[in-house]
Amino acid sequence: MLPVARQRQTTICREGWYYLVVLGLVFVPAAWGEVNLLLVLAGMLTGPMLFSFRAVGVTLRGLQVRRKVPREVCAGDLLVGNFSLTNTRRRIGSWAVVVEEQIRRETARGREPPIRLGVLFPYVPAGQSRRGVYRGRLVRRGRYRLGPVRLSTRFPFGLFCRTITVGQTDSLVVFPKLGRLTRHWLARRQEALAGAHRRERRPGVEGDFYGVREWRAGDSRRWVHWRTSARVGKLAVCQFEQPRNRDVVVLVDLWQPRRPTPQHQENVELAVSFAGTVMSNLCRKSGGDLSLVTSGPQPECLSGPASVALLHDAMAQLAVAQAESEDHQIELIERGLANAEPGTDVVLVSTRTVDLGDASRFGSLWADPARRALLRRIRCIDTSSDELAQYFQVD
Amino acid sequence: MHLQRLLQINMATLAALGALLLSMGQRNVGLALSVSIAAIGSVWLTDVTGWFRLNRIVANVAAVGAVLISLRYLRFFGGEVDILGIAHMLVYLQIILLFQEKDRRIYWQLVMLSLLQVVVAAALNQGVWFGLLLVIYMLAGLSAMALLFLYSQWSQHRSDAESAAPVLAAGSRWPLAGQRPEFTGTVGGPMRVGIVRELFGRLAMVELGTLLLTLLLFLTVPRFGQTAWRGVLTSPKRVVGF
Repeated sequence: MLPVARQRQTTICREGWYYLVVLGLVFVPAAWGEVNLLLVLAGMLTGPMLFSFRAVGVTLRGLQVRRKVPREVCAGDLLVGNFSLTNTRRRIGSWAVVVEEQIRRETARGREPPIRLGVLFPYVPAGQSRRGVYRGRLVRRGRYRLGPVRLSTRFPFGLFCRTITVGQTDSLVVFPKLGRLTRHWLARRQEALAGAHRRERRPGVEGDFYGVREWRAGDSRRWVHWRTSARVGKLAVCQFEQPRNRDVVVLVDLWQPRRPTPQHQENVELAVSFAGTVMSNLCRKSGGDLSLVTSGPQPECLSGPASVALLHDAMAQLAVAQAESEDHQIELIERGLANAEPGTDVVLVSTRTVDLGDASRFGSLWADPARRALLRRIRCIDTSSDELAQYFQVD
Repeated sequence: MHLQRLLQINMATLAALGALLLSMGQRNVGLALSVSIAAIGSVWLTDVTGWFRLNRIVANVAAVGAVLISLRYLRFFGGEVDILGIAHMLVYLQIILLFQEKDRRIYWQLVMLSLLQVVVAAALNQGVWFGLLLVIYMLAGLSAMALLFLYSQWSQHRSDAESAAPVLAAGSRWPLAGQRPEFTGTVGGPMRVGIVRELFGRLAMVELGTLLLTLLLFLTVPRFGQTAWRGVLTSPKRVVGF
């Protein structure tokens, strides 16, 4: 339940002003010309004006409102919130109550103009509650501020408007919109995993021992399980599980020029969306340690074992990640590789073309042999290039 | 009953009452009869069945025609009779509005025309019956205003809810590019919600209060053109005739 009222206000509506003009046009000639019936008519027009001023106050008395809205949602996804309006009075109902709320995106540069939404409650009988739903889509990721809630009514004639502001503000995080990784990306990752595994284990063995099956044409002779073959009288081979538990570092380089075009902004959103999708995929299907590093003067780093909790934190970090015009790419890569184990899969998602072979630019990284080894293994994804479509699609 | 239907009937009644008051002032029964028939007919033909509806262009042309005809009358009679020409014009315009598909704007226009008719009628009439009919007109007018307000609120929020459809960006790699956040609030219930006995009870209270206030105003508003009452003996005597 939202706390008690903070601010009350009664204003005259546009229709109320028109009504006053009409009232004046009837009353003045009636009083001046002493036309009794016109004076009666003027009196009849005055009544609704006075009584509606009182009625708007009575209508909002004893109302309590409760808000229910999710704390997180992905950009572009349907956001459904609802208000529950309770009339605590015993005898008097309330008509035409509008519950309004504003949603405002918070950015580093301050707040943006709010989005206003309203739910109409045509009638809330005495002692009862009614529920109203609003739905919509927030298309930009980030942190949003909800509220405060405003109750207003213009009942019964729409001449006056009474408004009560209640409740405190709440927050909502809009995660990046997620897309879909293509088979090409998954195959590439599988190849990378298999390659890394081959480098680490003895040649010919594809992973951890899984079981034994009958020999088929094309199977390596090294896989033959001789003891089982002798027991069953047929050739049997070992089966190996594909390695999945690899550590992965995802680096997100959100660069854009000082005066970005819509194309640059799209590249930034694509980079964030792609990084979010990769993290989501890894957290659900992988078992290794994951790290997410986003660019900035002080690159933000998040790491831990792949889990739903890590995914949640990663999405929250990506939700508020901002593009910058300063070049922080080297700091980003240094920060990402600082704690990376040998064999870690590193993905660099950038809004621009990256040439990691440029020894003059990345001289500090190339000077260190351990980092140099990791640098060679970085997979760069340039979201400004059409190549992204091979790995990632977002609808 | 459905809010819109109730409003349609109420508006037709208000139009008929306004015309009746006007015809009392003019002593022209035909005027009241024609508007009453038009009001009943419009509820059935235009509002309920939708068999006959004037579209916007035809209605505008008809309204211009009605004004021209009334102007011709005004020029022909001249002087004090001019107000009768205005009364005719109001009636013609009202009939044209009655046979249009009604929205908030049309309803407000009907209310205003009806009120203008009553103002014109009040300037022409001085009878007691007129005053009594004026009270009935007030009852119909206040309920019409309340219903019109509820209908306006309902249709406004309804149209907001229907206008929300996300438009996907064409030719862009980022599907949310150029889109604006859209939110709609649903109306908590169908159109008949709130049309309960309690609503009319509340309106009756307002109407009773309005009547008392009218009486109070009528008795207390000073008449600047009359001298102060000094009793029967001291009252000025006026002599007319020879």
